[in-house]
Amino acid sequence: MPEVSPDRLWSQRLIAGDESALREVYRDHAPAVLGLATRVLGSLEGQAEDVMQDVFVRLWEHPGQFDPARGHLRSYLLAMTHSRAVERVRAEDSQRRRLEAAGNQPVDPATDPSRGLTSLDSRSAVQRVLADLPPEQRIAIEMAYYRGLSYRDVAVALAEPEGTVRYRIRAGMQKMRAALQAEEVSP
Amino acid sequence: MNDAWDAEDRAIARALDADSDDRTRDADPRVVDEYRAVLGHLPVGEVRPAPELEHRMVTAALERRAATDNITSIERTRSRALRRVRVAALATAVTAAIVVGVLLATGTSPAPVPSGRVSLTTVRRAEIDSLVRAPGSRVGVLGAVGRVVLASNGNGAIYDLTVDAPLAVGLVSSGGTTVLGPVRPRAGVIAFVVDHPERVRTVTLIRRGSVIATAALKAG
Repeated sequence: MPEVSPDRLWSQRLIAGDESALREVYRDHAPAVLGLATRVLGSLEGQAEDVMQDVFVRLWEHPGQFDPARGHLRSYLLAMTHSRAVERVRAEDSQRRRLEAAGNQPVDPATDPSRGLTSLDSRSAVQRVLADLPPEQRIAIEMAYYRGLSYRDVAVALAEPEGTVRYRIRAGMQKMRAALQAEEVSP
Repeated sequence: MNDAWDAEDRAIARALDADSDDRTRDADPRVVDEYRAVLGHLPVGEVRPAPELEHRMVTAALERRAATDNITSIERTRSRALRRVRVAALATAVTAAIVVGVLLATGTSPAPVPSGRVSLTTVRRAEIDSLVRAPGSRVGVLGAVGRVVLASNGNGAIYDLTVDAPLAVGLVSSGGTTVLGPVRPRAGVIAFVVDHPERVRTVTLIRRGSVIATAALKAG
């Protein structure tokens, strides 16, 4: 009998309205969801918890929107988290304040979530590639992802043309995707 | 460096939520998923939520889904009145019809999750009424979509269905969930049989992967 992935089982149970499945998914993924929401929302106090709740309530309300054939539940939840957090950042027009606070500084090494990656025991090829990216690519990706900035805002923050920022992000993302695909096909 | 956006740019920008919807609207969902998978591997600096947030989230989630289950007491009263005047008969017939039904789907999870199957046999209204009145039967209201009855012998039916489309039936127990179907209702009814009916607490109706109604089973 073929093995059924935990994500697929969770999906089936959520679709059927199994409350215990919701609790299990929450306990497994809430720390990552809250971590990302906190990262993107920064100083917007209390909003990260709201985003986290929104994400899990929406999963419960529309469980069929997660398709295990299209990716892992973690990726799905984090994508939803990022999208909702970015919506809040932009809706509250905090971009300007965030940019002013960020100035033209790169990601603060003291709070950089990817710090110490090289000391990790090869947890993920993607993380290794991120750590090894040229700084200009890595910083652009981190500003877009962790701070929820648009290409335009990243360009303003880095004092670079928007096209340059887009090119750097594309180059870095493609390298990470290739690493992930290579990892998935290797035994 | 080319200023024109191509499919790859659109997919990356969509995955990063980094540009307007107008510019990324035509992004290939498959490629977007691939880049979201990449981002899902990036470190996020996990933050353990305060313990009370789980309860808050579950409460909010249950309230949201319960919206479809909040049938008015008026409708419940009407349902009981209708049941009283229906003909009492043919309980054994509905049992036989269900048991000999064609197997469409089977939940084979180990105990204590019940196993079950649905039947293609057309079940008449009188048979449903008999099932509802049988001692030990439990019933529930599936919002505006229909009703459910589950007898103590394991025979059950979703009836009075207002949806004429393939539906799956979720049988939720403390140990997990069994999903039967999907199957298209016959004359507004989906009949099923389950091997451990006492374990089933809640019944859900699923259409195209989304729960459209939920009913907690209660003594009839």
